[in-house]
Amino acid sequence: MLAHLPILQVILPFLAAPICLILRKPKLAWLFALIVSAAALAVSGLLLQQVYAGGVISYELGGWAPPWGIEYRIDLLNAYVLLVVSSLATIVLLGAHTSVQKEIEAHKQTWFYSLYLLCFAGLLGIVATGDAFNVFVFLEISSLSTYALIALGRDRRALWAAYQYLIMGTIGATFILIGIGFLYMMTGTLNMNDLAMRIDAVESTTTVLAAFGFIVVGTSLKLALFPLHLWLPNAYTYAPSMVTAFIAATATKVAVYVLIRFLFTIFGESYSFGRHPLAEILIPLAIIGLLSASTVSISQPLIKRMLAYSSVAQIGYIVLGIGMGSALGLTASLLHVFNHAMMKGGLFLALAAVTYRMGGSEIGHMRGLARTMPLTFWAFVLGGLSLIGVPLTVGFVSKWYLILAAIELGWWPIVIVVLVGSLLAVLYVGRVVETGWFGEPEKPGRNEAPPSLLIPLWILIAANFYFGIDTRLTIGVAENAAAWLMGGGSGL
Amino acid sequence: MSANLALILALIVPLVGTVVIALLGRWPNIREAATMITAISLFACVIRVLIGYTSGEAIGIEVVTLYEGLSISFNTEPLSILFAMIASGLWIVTSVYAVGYMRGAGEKNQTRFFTCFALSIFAAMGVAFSANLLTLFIFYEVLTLATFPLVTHKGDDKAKAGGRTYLGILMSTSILFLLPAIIWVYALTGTLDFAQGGILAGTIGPAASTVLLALFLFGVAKAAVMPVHSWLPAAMVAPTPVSALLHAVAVVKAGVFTLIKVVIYIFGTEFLIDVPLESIAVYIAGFTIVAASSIALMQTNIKRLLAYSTISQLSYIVMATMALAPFSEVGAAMHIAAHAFGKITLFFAAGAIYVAAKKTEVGQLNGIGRRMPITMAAFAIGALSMIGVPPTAGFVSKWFIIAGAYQLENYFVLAVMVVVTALNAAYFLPIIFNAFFKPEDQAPAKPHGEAPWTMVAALATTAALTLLFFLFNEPVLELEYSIVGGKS
Amino acid sequence: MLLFLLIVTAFAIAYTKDLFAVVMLAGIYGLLSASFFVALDAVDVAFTEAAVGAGISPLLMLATLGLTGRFQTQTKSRFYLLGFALVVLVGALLMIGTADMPAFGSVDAPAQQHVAPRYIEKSYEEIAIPNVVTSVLASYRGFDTLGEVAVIFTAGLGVLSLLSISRKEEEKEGGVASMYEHTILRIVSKILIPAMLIFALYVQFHGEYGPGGGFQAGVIFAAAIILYSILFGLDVAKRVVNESVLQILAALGLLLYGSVGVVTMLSGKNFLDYNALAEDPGTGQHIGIIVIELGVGITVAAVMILIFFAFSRRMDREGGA
Repeated sequence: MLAHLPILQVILPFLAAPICLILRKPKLAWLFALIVSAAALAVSGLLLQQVYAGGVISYELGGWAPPWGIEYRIDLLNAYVLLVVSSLATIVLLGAHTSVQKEIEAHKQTWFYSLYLLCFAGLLGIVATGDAFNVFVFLEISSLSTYALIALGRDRRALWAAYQYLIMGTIGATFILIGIGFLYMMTGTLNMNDLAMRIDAVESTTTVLAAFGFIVVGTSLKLALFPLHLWLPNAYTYAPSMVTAFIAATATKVAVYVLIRFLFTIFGESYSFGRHPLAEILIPLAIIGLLSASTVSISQPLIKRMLAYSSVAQIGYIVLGIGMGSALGLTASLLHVFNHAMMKGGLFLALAAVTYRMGGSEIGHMRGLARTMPLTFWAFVLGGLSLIGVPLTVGFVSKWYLILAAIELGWWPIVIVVLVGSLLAVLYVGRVVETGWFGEPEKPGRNEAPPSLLIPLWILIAANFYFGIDTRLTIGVAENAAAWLMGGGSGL
Repeated sequence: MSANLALILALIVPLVGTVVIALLGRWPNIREAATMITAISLFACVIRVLIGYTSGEAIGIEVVTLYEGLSISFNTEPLSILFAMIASGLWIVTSVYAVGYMRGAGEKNQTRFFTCFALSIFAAMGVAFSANLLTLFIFYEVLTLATFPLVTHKGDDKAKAGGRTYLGILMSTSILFLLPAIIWVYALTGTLDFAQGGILAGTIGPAASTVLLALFLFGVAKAAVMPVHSWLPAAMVAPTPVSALLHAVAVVKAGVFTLIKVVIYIFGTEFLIDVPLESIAVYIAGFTIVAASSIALMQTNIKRLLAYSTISQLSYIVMATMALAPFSEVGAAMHIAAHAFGKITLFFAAGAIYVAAKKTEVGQLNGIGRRMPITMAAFAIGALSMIGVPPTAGFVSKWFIIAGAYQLENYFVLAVMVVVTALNAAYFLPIIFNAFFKPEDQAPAKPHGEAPWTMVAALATTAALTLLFFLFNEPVLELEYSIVGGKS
Repeated sequence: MLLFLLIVTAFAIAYTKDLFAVVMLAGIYGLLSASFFVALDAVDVAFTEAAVGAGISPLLMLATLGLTGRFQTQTKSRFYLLGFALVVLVGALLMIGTADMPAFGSVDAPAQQHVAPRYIEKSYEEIAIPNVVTSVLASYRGFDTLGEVAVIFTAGLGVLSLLSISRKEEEKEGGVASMYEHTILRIVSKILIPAMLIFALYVQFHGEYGPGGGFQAGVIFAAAIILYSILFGLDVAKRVVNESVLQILAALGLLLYGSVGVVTMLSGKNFLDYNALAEDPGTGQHIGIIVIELGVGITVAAVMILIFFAFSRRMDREGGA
């Protein structure tokens, strides 16, 4: 079975989804989904180990060698992202049953788990594949299931949010498809490795230029780079709490992966940054997004929306690292992919707990949380510290690398921007903490969240600190992956 | 027990104490006992470290390495020991005082109070013994966060507003000035470790050094140099034991301690002497001294007066450090101790007056010396120390500061010291006079005597220390000489 | 000529406010595209486009119209100019992209040089079926097709979760007004529907030899059932094809496809390597392709019918028709 790990990674949740549809009871569906997710998590762990020890893994689907057939190609970069996605999916699923009971109508709950697994499989499929068109197919799967999941939210505005995301997401996906089509037109292949080798010959054509443009814009839409982020706040706010926790931690990261894969592996660093003013476009947009989103989040009454804008800001950090075009910058971005998943996953799970007990997650619901739900409150505080970037948390590690990368290039203003971002984070996190600490709750008395929600929450928060102190895994993988990508690593 | 172990314990003991105290909420007496035990054990550990240091034992721990040149490590040198001893020693006294105060004033949430107190001392120990700027920064921030619940203890709107100013100024200066300064140092040298003679020599030019120095000066807002000083008066909404230990001793001394460490062990005095614009720092500190004392003159609330007095006295230390003369450096270190003893006495007295007589304003103190002789006597001793008159501790440190100024013919410093002595006299002496020699305005509704015995005992002890320091300061002097003598 | 008509139709769709007309225009667009593809000699694609774009899509959209109303409400868009500018920009970028593109139909184009020739040359040898499109779709790139079936499944699931109402509420309804009274329609359909169903089966299994395959077959099959449902009433149709059975079928089709891959894995070869299914690779490929296409057809048919039922049921509740 070990040889089949790459495909098992995707097939497990993929085939589990229709099975969930057949299982009638929500509890059974949840249990089944949880077991499958855990299995997928185990697979991703094993894959990372294998890649670390033995180098790139290639799996031929249908037994056809690439580029005739579709290839699954696992290198350090995607093994890492696979781990992030599967761990978040499993941890969030731990608490899903409890949260979903209150937020989704009873007869729709089985479909929820089916859609969740489809989204999970879709995300995994995007990451694991070595074929450009295959990326698009699984992008469709994950996107469609996400739209449906968001629309399951209680609030009527969830429908509008899902619709908005659908329109913008489809445009993004279509752009990516057009780009892939152009690339096929000029190289005759869809295999990523093959494309990387063949693009050199046709680099200077306008078709490849157009392809580059479409793909960058398309992925930027999906990863919510300013100003293409407009779909994100509504989508995160009105979706069911567990959906937000899952997609906030994973969906945009996978889009980042796609961008990195195209920029560094397929087009190559010298083309992407050398021939085009990519850095000059990405960096200002990242900075504006970072600062404006952080500022806007300070005044949001809905805490979910506040965290959504915070996510846009965090994505700004990631794109900032990519835009710098250096190994250190790329390392910082890769680190933040992992770290932000831990941070935001934890914070949104805390909100899920608050919604479960308090009926909502507006600033008013957070009043006096320190006394009514202390475990949840302190988890939120600790997650907030990670968001700010306090040393000993994962947030610090990625910000530190970003600062190092900026110093290496001598771009001091960027250091200031990162620090101002942290200060703004202090403000918006501080607002919630202040309300939770000083406010008077509507119904005083301990009303802590149930263990099923607290356990996944604290797992993620603990991870924030564990990986903030023992950084060998994350830094080790990120640095190696970045170095390899910058070297134009492909096919070796 | 080896000195290294003592160092580790000096950090762990208050941390464990925090947890234990938090859990003992339901049994107040046992909880108070826990605080006392923790305080005494901590002091014992620090003494052991002192002994180990003076006998030449090697002391240092590295807890975790986060990155090349970035680690969380601890070690000792004369300044750290001084600061640690003052903070831990005075914690014992303050704990006794605090018990009396909290029970006398009927304060709520006492467990939270004592827990955060222990946590703050933990943070102070971390600052004291840090071996590099990263460790110092982390514990510096923990100190801010740990003292926040103490500042906002009352929970009313005034407390919240005060808390917001407190946190706002301290956090923004840390993130916008101090952090960039630290990052800059790292970018220049690849390390953040404190070292004899400084680490910046040869890596940075004079103009940039001035900017870096300014970043540190205003980034370490706990040293309360103007204009980043307003958090101190705002913090006076806290209960008095908090103001006494933390805002007279631990927090503010952490600030000046940081500045002195940076000047001596990051920049290096030799290096700074060659930076022409360095004297601007002296002028800023000098300005703070005079301005703060002038504002103190106009205050009617006792605690606010003491707060501005603190700001002024802290800048004695800053100015003396920035003067870069060997004697003034020693004077700065001595003043850390002297001011601590004097100010804590003054705050203790103010708190006793509040608990016993419910009075908070300077104008209400006529004739109170007859009802509370011990308290006011202690107050007088503290005030004399602030003015800098023998036989008090304040005289000793002032002597060295002036000697240092004289050494380098720094007439600005001399002038400032003269002016501020006059100002201090102007606002302290009338209070003492009125307390003892003026009749009471009106008899109090309920006749009162001294405050609860625990509070009186505490303030008497610190007043005594103020006097004793005048007489027995040799050991401290020896210790601090070694900083400027060079080798440690 | 066809291109010009396509552009005209596209503009018409964007500007017309009468949604019924828009749906019909969309159908025409689909038909035009299909003809376009025929002109390019891509008959499989044309077939699918005709079935989906001109067949089932307008049908489902008409069902939606029953819910939303016929006319588009006037919305004053503030961003009209911005939207227009963006479209122009994208169009320009697309055209820039085509500037360096290889000449239309050129033999030297990269797309004709690298992967494609191999498919053409080796397909019969390796897969032993005449239709190269099917061999690419179902074998060489069979994994993509699995993904696309999942997309359809997801879409169905999405519609269900959005539009469905709980079991208890459903039992309270009555039937839908049917078009039972239209005698001509009724009689003609009674002849046509069985023919459609058989044709669907033919397309399903003949896909290896000519244009056809699971997608087209599924769509045609669904169209037949939908026609029946429109004419004879929703609850009658539901008695013929039970809804929960449909849900299970939708899942089963996808599972069937996937399990072929699982079986090949367990037989020691890679996922979806049909050579593992029989001694002789050619037979193995045959078996593999037939089974997966069946899976595709089942899921596609089930999902299309489910979607239609979901819309119609909603329509009953709203009272419209």
